[in-house]
Amino acid sequence: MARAARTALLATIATLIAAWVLFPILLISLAAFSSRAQLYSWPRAIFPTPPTMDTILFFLRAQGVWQATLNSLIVALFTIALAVAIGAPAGYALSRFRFPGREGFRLGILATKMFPATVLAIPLAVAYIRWGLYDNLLGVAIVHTALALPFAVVITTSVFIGVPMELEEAAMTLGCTRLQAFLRVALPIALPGLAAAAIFTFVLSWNEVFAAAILTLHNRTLPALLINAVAFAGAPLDYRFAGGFFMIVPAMIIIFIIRRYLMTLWGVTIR
Amino acid sequence: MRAPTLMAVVLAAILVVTVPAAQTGPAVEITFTSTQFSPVHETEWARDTLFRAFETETGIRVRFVSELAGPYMDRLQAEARVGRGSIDLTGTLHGDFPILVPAGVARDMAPVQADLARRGDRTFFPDLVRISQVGGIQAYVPWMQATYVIVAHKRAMAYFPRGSNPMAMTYDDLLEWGDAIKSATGTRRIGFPAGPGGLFGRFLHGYIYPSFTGSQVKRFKSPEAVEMWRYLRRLGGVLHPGSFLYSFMHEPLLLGEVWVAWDHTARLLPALRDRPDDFVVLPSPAGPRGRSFLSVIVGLTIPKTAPNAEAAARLIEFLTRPRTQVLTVQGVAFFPTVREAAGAVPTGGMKLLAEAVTAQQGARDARVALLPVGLGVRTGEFVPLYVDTFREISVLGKPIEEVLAAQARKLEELYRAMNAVCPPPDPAITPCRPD
Repeated sequence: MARAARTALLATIATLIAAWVLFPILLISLAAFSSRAQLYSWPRAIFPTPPTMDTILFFLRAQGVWQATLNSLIVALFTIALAVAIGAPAGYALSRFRFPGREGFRLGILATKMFPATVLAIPLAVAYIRWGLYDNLLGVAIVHTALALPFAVVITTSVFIGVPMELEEAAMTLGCTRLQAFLRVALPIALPGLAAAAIFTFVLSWNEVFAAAILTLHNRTLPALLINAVAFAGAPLDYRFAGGFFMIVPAMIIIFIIRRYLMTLWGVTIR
Repeated sequence: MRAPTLMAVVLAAILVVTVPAAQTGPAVEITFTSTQFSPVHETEWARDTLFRAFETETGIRVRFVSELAGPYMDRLQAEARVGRGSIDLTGTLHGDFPILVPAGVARDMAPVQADLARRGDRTFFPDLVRISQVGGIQAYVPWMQATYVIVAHKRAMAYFPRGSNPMAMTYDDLLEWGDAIKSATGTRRIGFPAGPGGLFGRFLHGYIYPSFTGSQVKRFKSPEAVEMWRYLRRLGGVLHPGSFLYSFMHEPLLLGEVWVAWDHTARLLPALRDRPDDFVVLPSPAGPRGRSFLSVIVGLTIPKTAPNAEAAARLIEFLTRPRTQVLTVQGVAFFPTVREAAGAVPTGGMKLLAEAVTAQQGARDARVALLPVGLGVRTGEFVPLYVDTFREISVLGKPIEEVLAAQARKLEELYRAMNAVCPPPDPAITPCRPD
C-alpha cells in the first residue's frame, strides 16, 4: 500500500515537473504554427485552426537563419570540446590530488563567474580585433569556454570523486600506465558525468547572446541574430513564437543525442 | 574508437568554419550597421528591396547588420580605439552622435553633404542639417525621420467628445474621450508605452511638457507644469493599467486591449498594415501652449576607420535620393529628410499615417520640439529624469511641487555640468536652467 502511494506521489511530482518544462514549449510550438490573425484574436485559441507554416517558412527563408543555426552548432561543439578538454583534467586533479592552494584554486575558478561581462565589452572587442579573432566562430567559442569552464570544472570534480581510485590502482597493478588507467578505466566510468557537463556547456553556449553579439558582425550565432530581430524590436507575435520555436528545436535535438550517453551509462555511475 | 570520432568532428567543424571565409563575394562589398530596421520584417524589407535596388544600380553589395543599441555602440567605439575597422557606413539616432563624436568614431560629413547639395536634385530640410552639427563637425547626413501620433480603433470614435475635431484634438478632449469610454464600457482603453523599452519618456518631455508650458526644460517647475501634472493624474484614471507593461503599442491595439494608443510611428505601423480598415490615425493632442511634437532624426555617418568610404558615400547618395526616400516611407514608415520626397502620396495604412503626420506638422498651433543636444556622454540621463518625475508624482502620489523642485535641481546640475543649450522650443540659453 505505502509503496503504491509512494509511487503515485513520485509519478505526480515527476509529471508536474515535466509539465512545468514542457507546457511552455508546447504553447510556443502551437503558436508558431498559428496564423498572425489568430494570434491577435480574442479569446485566443490554443490550437491553430488551420495550422499554417507561413511564419516558419518566412523564418527559414530569412537571410542568415540557416547559416546562424550552423554557426551556433559549430560554436557549441567547439565550446564543448574545449571546455571538456580543459575542464576534465582540472576536475580530475582537484578530485585526486591534494596540492597547496587547492582551495584557493577552486574558489578562483568560481570567482570568474563574478565578473559582469558587460563591462568587458569594449576591451574584449578591442583585443579581438587586434588578435584577428574578431567575427570568428573560434573566438566566440573561446569566450563561451571561459564562461562554461567554472561549471565544467565543478561538475567533473564531483564526477571523478565518484570514480573509485581503487579501480585505477587495480588497472595500474595489471600493467597500465597512469595515463592508460585514466583513459581506459576512469574516463569510461566518468562518461555520463562528462555528458552532463557537455549538456550544460551546450545550453550555456546555445543561449549566450552578449559575447556572440559584440564579437561577431557577419558570422552571427542564432541567438545573436534573433534576439534583436525578434525579442527587443517588438516584432509581431507570430515572429516571436516562430523565433522561439526555432531556438528550441535544434537545442532539443542535440540534448536528446547527448542524453543517450547519460541514460545508457547511468547505472554505472550510480553504483 | 572514440578519440578518432571526436577528431573527425572537430576537423569537420574547422572545415565548415574556414571554407565559407575562403569564398569571395562580389567585387565591392560594404558593411552597413544600424540600430534601425531591427524588427525581422523590416530587416528583410531593407535587404530585399532597398539594398537590392542599390546593388542592381551600382554593383556594390551591402551587408546590412541591424544591432541592439548596446553592442552597436560598443563595436563602433572598439573599432575607433583600435584604429582599424570593418564598418563602412552606420546609421543611428541623433541622440547617439553626442557619444560617437567625442569617441572619435564619426568623421566630418560636411564634404559628403556638400557633394549631395551640388547634385541639385534634393533639398534637405534646413533645421535637420542644422542639428546634425555635433561637437563642431557635421556628425551625420540626415537620413530618415519619425514622429509620434495617436492610433485609435474605429469603435472608440463613437465616444469622441461631440463638437470637437479629432484631427485637432486637445489634451482635454483626450481625457474626456477616455472618461466617456470608461463610463460607457466600464473599461479603461487609452494606452501609453510606459513599459520597459517603451517611449513614454518622449511623451513627457517632447509632447505634453511643451504643450502645457511652452518648454521642455526652462519651465520644468512652473505653475503651468504643476497644472500639467494635475492633468496627468486625472488622465491616469482612464489609462489602461497594462500601460506600465507596454513597449510597442501595435500589439495591444491589434489584441483589442487598448482602443486609443500614442506611440512612435514605426511602432504603430504593424497594426495599420494588418488592419488598415479598423483604425484611424490622429495627430498628437494640443495643450494650452500649442501642439508640441518631437521630430526623431536618424543620421548616416562614415566611421573614420571605414575600409571603403567612397562606396559608403555612394550608398548615402542612394538612400537620400527623393525616390528612395519615398520607397522608405512606404516600406517602414520613416519619413523623408528631403523636401522633394515629402509631397509623395503613400497608400493603405501608410496613407493614414502620412495624413496624421501632415496634420500634426501643418497644424496652426504646431510647435516642434527637438531632442536635447549637447549633453554628451550624459545624454542618457535626460529622459529618465522625466520618467522618474512621472513615477514619483503619478504612481507614488508624492506632492507635485516638492518632486518638481527636487527633479529640477537634478536637471539643472545635468545642464550646468555639460554646459548645454536648451532644446527647442526653449530659448537657446547656455547652460539651460529650469526657472
